[in-house]
Amino acid sequence: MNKILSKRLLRDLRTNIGRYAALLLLIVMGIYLVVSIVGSAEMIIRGTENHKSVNMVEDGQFTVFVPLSDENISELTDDGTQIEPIRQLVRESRSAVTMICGMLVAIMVVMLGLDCYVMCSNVRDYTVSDTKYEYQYLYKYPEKTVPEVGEAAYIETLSTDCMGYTLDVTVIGIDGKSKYFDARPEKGKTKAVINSSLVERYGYKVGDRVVFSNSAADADYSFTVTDISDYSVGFTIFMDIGSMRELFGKDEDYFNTVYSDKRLDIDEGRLYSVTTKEDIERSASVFVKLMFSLVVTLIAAGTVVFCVVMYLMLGVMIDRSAMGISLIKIFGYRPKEIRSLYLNGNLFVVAVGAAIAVPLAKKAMDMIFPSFIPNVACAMKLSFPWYLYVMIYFAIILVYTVINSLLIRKIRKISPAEILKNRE
Amino acid sequence: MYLQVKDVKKSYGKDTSYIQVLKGVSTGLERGQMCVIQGTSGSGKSTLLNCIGGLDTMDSGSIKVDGTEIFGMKPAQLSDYRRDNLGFIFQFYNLVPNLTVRENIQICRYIAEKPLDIDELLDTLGLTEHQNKFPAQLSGVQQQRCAIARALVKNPKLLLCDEPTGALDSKTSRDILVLLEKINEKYGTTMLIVTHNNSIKNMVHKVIIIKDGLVKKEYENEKRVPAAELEDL
Repeated sequence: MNKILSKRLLRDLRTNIGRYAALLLLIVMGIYLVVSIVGSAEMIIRGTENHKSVNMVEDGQFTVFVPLSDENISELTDDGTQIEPIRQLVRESRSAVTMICGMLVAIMVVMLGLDCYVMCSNVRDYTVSDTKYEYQYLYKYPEKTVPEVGEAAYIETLSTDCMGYTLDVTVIGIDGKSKYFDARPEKGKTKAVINSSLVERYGYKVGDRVVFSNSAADADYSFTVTDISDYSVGFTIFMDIGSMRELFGKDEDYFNTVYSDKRLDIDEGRLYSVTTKEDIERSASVFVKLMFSLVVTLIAAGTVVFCVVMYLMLGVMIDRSAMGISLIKIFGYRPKEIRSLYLNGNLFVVAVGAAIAVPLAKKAMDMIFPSFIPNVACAMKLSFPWYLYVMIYFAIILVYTVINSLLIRKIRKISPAEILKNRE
Repeated sequence: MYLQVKDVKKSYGKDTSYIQVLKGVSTGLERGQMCVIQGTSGSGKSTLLNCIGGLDTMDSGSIKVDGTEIFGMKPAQLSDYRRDNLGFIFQFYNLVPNLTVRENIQICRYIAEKPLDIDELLDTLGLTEHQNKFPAQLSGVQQQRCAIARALVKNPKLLLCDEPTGALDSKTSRDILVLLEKINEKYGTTMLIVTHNNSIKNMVHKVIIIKDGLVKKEYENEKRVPAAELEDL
């Protein structure tokens, strides 16, 4: 029994290797996030201790001291002093890099949610826009003559593998002058036009040889890609109807599907199904509704993680600077001046970090996202419109602004008397 | 009176941990005077200094510096009071370790309305050749000189020194005291020095001895000993 179970486990592992690899990557990232948050304070302090003598930094002293304003610099440089505002920021670079890595992980979770939503929306939108017919009549018992105003087609279903899953590929035999599909297949039993979904999923190009199976007949069919169609519904290839009939051994006038713009008077007993464009629109929208709660959960979770990372990392920086803040409060620095000293530098880090992390997270998530849904036969159109990137970026700045206000309260709570505790 | 302290009371804690540190301290200081506040550990001298410096709030009483009442000031007002009137010198220097000597001084120069000239100050305090060094590269006395320069650059009316020689040996302590004396003569800065070193009281204009939260004794020195001649530091 154990042997059977272990064999089954191995088989499952082999067939789902991509999915498990993606899951493992997410677990590692999650562990990294937790460890970096929990261990960051210790790490920073230990790292600082190790480099104390080189970097002239001690606990509780100035760490993020600030890029001085132009007015400050010119006033100070009038005395012949050379100030290096960036010096302090460079000293905090390790903390900044840790914060950016934390941001990257959080943004990746948000991107996962957005990719999910974008993919489902695109499937819906492209399916609707690519369906040019109003009615599709699928025959159980095909007729000999094509109904008037209808366009005959021959449909077969083959299959292909993706990460251990069997996905359907619809083979549609059409006339070269079809008004419902933008494919123009060439004559030939081994020639086919493939749709954009297959190109996006598998990376096929013109001239490639593709092989699909008919598991019922236990036969494989090999085709050479002659063209690529923009039709994006599911996995679809187009053949010349005559060549297809020959390939599958059908009569020369055989058809089993009719497309039309109007309702046709066909004996219902002959039909397997009638599909309207509305049906297709409705079913295409189902994905968006089904996935919406998951999308919201992922975006909310990513935002929470982002807020936690941001608050903890920036809070650690403030805590390390408590003595320095206390010192300048004793000197008489006003709250606004203290804020500009200790918080404005962080805005720079967050702004630059977000500019790096957002596209990087998107790229990384686009690469691993297909492995999350290998069992769905559809295209992976994951591209965002440009304004979505802008919205994400400004959302990050907005979240930082909110957290900044919490940190201002933290700074306010540091009393001038803190530094007076530094006694022998 | 430049500095007037009237019946100042200060306590900490509640219930079983309640302790009254200052029990009604009253004293005063004229402008330009150097004054030592002396007492044993726990007598309340540092607490009094903190109250005068606006770093701690009194329970009751009155503290006036150049006619300005501190009691009842809000934190922002206290911050401005310290900014415009006070300089601080600490026992353990509290310099910013990743700024040079010059930059440490400039921290306070930046917020001063009428700051002193940095180069002159560096020269007076013997720090010109060290101005581009970091605190870790300086000796204890040099660090304290830097701290003094930082406190003075604002041209404060009142300099509060909490154990300024506490972390130094006798020779270097003398150097610092000579410096403070020089500054008092040159800039006319009023100074309040908290110390438990018995010798320092001989160099100042006025001595206040605090015991158990009250002024036990206060007197003015008729004959001051120059700092350079102090013994048993």
